[in-house]
Amino acid sequence: MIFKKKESNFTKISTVVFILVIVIIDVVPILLIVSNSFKPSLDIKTLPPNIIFNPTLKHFKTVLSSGNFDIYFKNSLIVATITTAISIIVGIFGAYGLWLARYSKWGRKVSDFILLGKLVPSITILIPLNMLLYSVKLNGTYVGPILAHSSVNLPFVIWLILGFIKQLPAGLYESAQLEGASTIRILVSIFVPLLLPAIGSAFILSMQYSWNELLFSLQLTSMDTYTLPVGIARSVGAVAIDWGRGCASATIAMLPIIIIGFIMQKYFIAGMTAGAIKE
Amino acid sequence: MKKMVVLLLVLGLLLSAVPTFADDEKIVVSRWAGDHADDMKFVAENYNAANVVIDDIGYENLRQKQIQSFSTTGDYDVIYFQEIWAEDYIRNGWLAPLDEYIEKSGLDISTFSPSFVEVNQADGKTYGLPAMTHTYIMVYDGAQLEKDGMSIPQTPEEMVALAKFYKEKGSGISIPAGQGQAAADVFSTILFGAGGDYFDADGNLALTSEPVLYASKIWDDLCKYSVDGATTWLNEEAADAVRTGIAPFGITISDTNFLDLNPDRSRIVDTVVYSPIPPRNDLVGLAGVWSFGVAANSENKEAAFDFINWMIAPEQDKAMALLNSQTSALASTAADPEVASKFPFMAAASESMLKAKYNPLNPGASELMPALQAALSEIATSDNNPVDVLTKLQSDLESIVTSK
Amino acid sequence: MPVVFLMPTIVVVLLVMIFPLIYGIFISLFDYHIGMKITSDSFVGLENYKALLYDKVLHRAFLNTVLFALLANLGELTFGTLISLTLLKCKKGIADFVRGLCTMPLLVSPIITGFIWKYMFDPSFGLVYWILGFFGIDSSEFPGLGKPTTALLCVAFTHWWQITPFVVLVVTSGLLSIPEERLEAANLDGASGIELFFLIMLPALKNVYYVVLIISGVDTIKVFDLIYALTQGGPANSTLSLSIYSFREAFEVYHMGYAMAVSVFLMITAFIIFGLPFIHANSSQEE
Repeated sequence: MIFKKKESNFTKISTVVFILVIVIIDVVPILLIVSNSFKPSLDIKTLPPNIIFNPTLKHFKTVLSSGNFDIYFKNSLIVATITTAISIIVGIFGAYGLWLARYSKWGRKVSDFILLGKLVPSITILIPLNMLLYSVKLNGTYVGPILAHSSVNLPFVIWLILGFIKQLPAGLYESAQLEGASTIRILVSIFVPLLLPAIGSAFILSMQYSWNELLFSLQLTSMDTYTLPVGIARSVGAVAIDWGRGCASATIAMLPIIIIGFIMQKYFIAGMTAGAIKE
Repeated sequence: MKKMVVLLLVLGLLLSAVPTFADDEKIVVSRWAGDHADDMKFVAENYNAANVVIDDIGYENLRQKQIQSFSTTGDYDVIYFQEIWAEDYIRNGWLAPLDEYIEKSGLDISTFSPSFVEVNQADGKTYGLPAMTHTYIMVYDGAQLEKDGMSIPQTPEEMVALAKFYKEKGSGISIPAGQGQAAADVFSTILFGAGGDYFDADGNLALTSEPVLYASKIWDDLCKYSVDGATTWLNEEAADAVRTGIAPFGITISDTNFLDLNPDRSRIVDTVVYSPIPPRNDLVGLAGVWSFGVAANSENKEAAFDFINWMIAPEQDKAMALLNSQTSALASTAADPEVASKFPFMAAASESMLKAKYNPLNPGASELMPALQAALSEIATSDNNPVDVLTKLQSDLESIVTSK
Repeated sequence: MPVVFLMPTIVVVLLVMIFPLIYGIFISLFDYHIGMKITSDSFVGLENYKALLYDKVLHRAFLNTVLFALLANLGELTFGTLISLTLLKCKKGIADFVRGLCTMPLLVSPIITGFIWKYMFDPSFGLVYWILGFFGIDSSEFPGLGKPTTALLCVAFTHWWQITPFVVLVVTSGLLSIPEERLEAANLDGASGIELFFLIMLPALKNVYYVVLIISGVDTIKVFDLIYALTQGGPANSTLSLSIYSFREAFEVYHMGYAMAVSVFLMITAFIIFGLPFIHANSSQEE
């Protein structure tokens, strides 16, 4: 409790109203889209929104049968999982390396400025990356989006894990070293178990980035490797919006990540807020 | 060690991600997604000579995906492309000439309206065969108009007056006035109907000519009297607004009109009425045509052509027309009584295309269109005088854009 | 030894970031169209960069982008702080529950966010206008996405919807890390809520804001997905961002070289607005 002052009833009521409004703004749009996906097309554009309607699975059937959403779903899962694995493994090594180099000038500089990697716009590396992939005949495969997503994730993941390592008890490394453990040994059997919360955060954060990313996926994938956002762009694109179809595909795409997010909420929040306190 | 195992696993997964190279019998068709793509998949299931795979993607990404395929691996064998891309595709040598195959198969291309074939020809060679056409037409809720004692407009001014009438009653005309190609298409239709064009006889940009300025004023008025939200809508939303009763009438692309008859999607099934977009002078509509071509870097050119030849044959063509009213480029299908009676909008569409023109097809047009779209959006959403907007556009572009 | 552990990172960053970046800058020196080969004939030197100076659409996009970044970040920091302060006054159970719900928009893909709000903002069937109707506001008074005057604000609002929850989470943990004693002391001195905020909390939050800006603030200057789904840059280019413009030049008009020049310009803009203060802050921290 930060505020200790007694509050008037008016303040209390306005606080409740304020929070209610926030919750409504937060949740209603998402619920509306999900409920729209079960509505017959003609019920979607009514005001106020129909709360009572004949639920139909028609839009989901269309999306799954002609929309290939089962394939997009699989592709997204593959891309997001491998991206996350690469980001975390490479990220742990990278963060550990930077931490080991913390007494050298370059180590400190790199640790301080690793986040500058976030300044590179996706669009700048997109086209050259595509040409590069083509020259090794890997364009249109999963490799494109996986590499692109990993490289975007990496600076943040390293920064995140480095922040957690810095908070580990001092002397942990030195005492393990005195017992004769090798540097890699210390990382794997002492640091990694202690870093599990950080790894959880990195997991959910890179998962949601890769699951939701559009620009790279749009350009670097082909027929067999389109991911969910690309599929959604198909029915939500500039030329045609079929709201029934669009709502159904949006629902399919966002529900899994929202559910995972809720299950891993603790980590999600921890990751999001890491670095805000210490640093 | 464990890490090495994980790394190896990841590496393995990465390698497994590399797809196996296509076998010879596989024909990959590139086209845009939507109901007609679903129809094509359905019809193509009956094709036995090769394994046909249709890669249908959003229209706005289609061209870049095709060019990517032309310039890199050649994922695609059959290319479904729009008339405004033809010049570019042909000039860059991305499409294979089809004459040899046409001759061998004995296909008679005179069954198509000549203008649909001509857009795909250069230097006496044919690079594409037309499959689908579209144009813009008016759609009305006939019952509503009758109730209000209004009749179908015969001139652009009457169309504006009708829009004004309904705007004052709380709705208005539905038009795809969002910043995009649809708005430019509607503008072209008004312009062509007023006897105008974007370029003068010498091939210079002529955005301050009388017909262009006239069309811009009509456009301004239509937007002013359009139903709420129309200035952000594109084709599908504009058509949907009429269909669902949000607006009593509107301008729609003929691709979308079959949905007017679908009771799941439409409230005007029994009352819908169509007409061409009323012209100022002679009825000269805007035509669009989608054609099949064979990618120059395809490894199965002959098989690809055989599929195209099968797909555009009257039988399959009529099947496509009957499913969701793909407006055929074949004169015989367009005039087929079964198709015409099933889809009443066909009459208005055919009438509009009798003497239709295309959007400018020269290389300069690709510079003109984005700027025109922004200008039309500016007219639609601001109080700026349309004449001033176009005069400014003319002075910005005249040195860069010519039809030569 | 540290270098061994950094090797995978170095490989990924070199391969997927640095090398493409250099190649992208290289392409920006050519009059290059996709599908062509790069030859010495198409070398134009700095012409593409010179053209930036005269391109009115680019100037508009630049202005939009900077304005959007400003609006988005200011809004998110203000609302985020306001909401987290309010939540800290509530019972812990309720506050935790609300914060949990709040994470939902964060997890939704930006392209779906755009889709959702395009629906919400439609004057004919969107919930926003239905609610505004109760206050007697219609689309002629608040044109929403339909007019250049308000469109960018609506895009920023959509961004607030998605990112404010993040700021709430971070600011909350920032506020909770303020030592109890300091607040107690101030309370005893009879400081008002507002004084408490400006004298004690705000200084403590400085670092938090700074983290928010460098983690999520930077993304506003690169905004793509949201606009791609919401407005495509319209009406009348009023929501055209530098990323969208570069994308259009590359894939719709096929001026690849010019598109690269635009994107390099975007990177420089991002560097000046976010990178320089970041470097400055980090260097001064060290001393």
